[in-house]
Amino acid sequence: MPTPPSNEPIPAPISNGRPPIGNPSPIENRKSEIENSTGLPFLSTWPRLYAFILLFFAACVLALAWLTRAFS
Amino acid sequence: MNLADYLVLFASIGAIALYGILRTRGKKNLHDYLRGQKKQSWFLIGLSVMATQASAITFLSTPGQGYDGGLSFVQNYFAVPLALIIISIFFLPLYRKLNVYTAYEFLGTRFDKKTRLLAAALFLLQRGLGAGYTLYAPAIVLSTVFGWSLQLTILLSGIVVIAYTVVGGSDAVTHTQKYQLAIIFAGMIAAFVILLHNIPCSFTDSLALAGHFGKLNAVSFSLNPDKRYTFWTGMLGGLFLMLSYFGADQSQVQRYISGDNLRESRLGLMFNALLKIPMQFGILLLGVLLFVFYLFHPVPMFFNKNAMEAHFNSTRMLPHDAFRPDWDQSFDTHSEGELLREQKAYFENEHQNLSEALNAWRLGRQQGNANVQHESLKKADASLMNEQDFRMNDAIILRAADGHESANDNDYVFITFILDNLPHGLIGLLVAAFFCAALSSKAAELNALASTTTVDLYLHLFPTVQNRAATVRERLPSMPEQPDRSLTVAAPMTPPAPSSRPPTQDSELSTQDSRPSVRAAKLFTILWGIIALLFALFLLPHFGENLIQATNIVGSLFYGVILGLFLIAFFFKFITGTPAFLAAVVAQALVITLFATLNISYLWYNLLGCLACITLAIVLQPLFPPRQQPPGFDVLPPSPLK
Repeated sequence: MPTPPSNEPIPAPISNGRPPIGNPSPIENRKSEIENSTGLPFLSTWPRLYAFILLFFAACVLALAWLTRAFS
Repeated sequence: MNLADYLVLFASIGAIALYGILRTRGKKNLHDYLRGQKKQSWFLIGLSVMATQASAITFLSTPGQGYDGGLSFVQNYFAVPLALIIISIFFLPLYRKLNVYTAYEFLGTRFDKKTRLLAAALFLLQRGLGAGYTLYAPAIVLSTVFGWSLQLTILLSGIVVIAYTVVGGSDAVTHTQKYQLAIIFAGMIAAFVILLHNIPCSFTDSLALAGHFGKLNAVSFSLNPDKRYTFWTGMLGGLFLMLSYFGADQSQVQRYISGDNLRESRLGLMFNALLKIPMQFGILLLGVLLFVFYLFHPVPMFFNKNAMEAHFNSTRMLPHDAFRPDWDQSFDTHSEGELLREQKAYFENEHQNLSEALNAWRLGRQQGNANVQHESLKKADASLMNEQDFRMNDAIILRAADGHESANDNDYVFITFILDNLPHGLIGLLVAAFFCAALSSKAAELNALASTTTVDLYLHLFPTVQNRAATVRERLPSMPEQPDRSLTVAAPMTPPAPSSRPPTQDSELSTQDSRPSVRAAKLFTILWGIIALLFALFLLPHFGENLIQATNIVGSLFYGVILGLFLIAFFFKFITGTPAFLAAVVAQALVITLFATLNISYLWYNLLGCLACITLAIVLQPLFPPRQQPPGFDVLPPSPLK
């Protein structure tokens, strides 16, 4: 569903080429954007990547436990 | 080894050394020498973190551990994924935010100078002790290849590694590690294929045999505290060991803080979180297959052949108390050479019986005859037990003959297999890769020791031109417990004007004025190299563990307390420097006392040290003034899951 237009005033353009004090600069925003994404196709956020690694670990332990039981 | 192997060996070592020197020449400031250029991709960071831990010791010693103890050692690494995720969420953003050179700088910022110095001293103590072990790896390769004495090869390796580190620095370590790692992996895959080809039964039958002899014991849920490797020691003790090793050990922190940005550093860690357990499993499985291979093929009674041959023709008589009490009195009338030859004859005879029994088992399995299989395995069990008894006797005789010879020959198993069974050319390449990886790993360790000594101790005790201004800065604010900011960026209370901002650590240490510090770092590299050499030559031969376990044991005695300090800094914001410092001192004394008196798995000392440090700090805190932090100074990241 499209978002209705906001009534809030549009902030004035930055005249001196610098962002107002207290707001993050575009460079900082870009840096934060880069760091908040993993850059991986299917695991683009960090919590997803962490969850995938923990699942993989659980699968490893199960496989090793099976190996121990099957050949003991 | 033949001429082709020697040519490949020396050409490879020369090429790797030359490459390292060319990639790093002209490096004159402390920043580059210690931390490397801060532009590394996640793949390079991941490899570097992996290579720093999975050093030549891992590749030499872990197959031997698999050969002797089976897969159980893989449980030691169970906590790695969780530990690396925790470090990625909590530790890494802080290190990058504070722009630290050593992990202990962070403690100085959060607590005070004395706590930082204590953590640095604990790190230096444990790494200094452990540094001797890493010298063993190249020495074992050299002594096995050339037949030289271990003492001589330790000395030679020590001199080479000190020169390599002083010339190269941190970047040379990183740049050459990836090639060494690639060659070693290729060599291990080749060894795996050759093993499978030369074992006279199928892969499933090999696993069945290994399982029968108790080598596929990958997971144990036993609650027995004496048992060294279980799921619980791995997940609890191991978690604290890995958190401390990856999160608070300078040799690792130095690897991943050199990322281009936070994402690259995190991905480098996640690369290891994913691969560590499969990789260790693969290396241990190689050891298990080596065990199966040597069931069917002639096996040396003692894999450290040089140690054995040195005493084989000796006519010296050994004192009676050197032997086991149940041994025959006739042992007193034999020289050490006669005893060794006699044990060897018994051993070879028993190994012949073992191979015959297992060949009968193999035929019975092919014919589907369960009775033959059962009877053959019973005979094989008895023969293997006798064989192990002769092997133990041999170790006792060798230890009695020469107190310096370790009775543990596990570290020689894989290199012996390589030299005896791999194709020529590949042997030379693999030996070169092992040797260079051992050098790199030692170089990384010396680098970490030198950087901690330089940044955390030397620049404090002997302020030079570039840190004099910073030392003045640290005296300005008056607080009950002043955070140590002599080398870190002070968090400004208000956004400062560019001209008034104090110079950052990077700019301070990157200037040409840091040349005296580079000289100091190089001198400390040499000093730690000499200390490691002395440990390796005179102290460590008496420890009697294989390399991979010995390094873990030494680390476990100190890592718990170091981690405790870091966890207090992260999560217990009300605790100030002095209670944390006192708690760490008492907890360290407690761990050493428990190690001397208890007989529990060494992994538990990580947990005990950490919990003791945190609990004592909480108890002691009410006795000291509360923490007063300047506004705007908050070391915790705003959102942990970003």
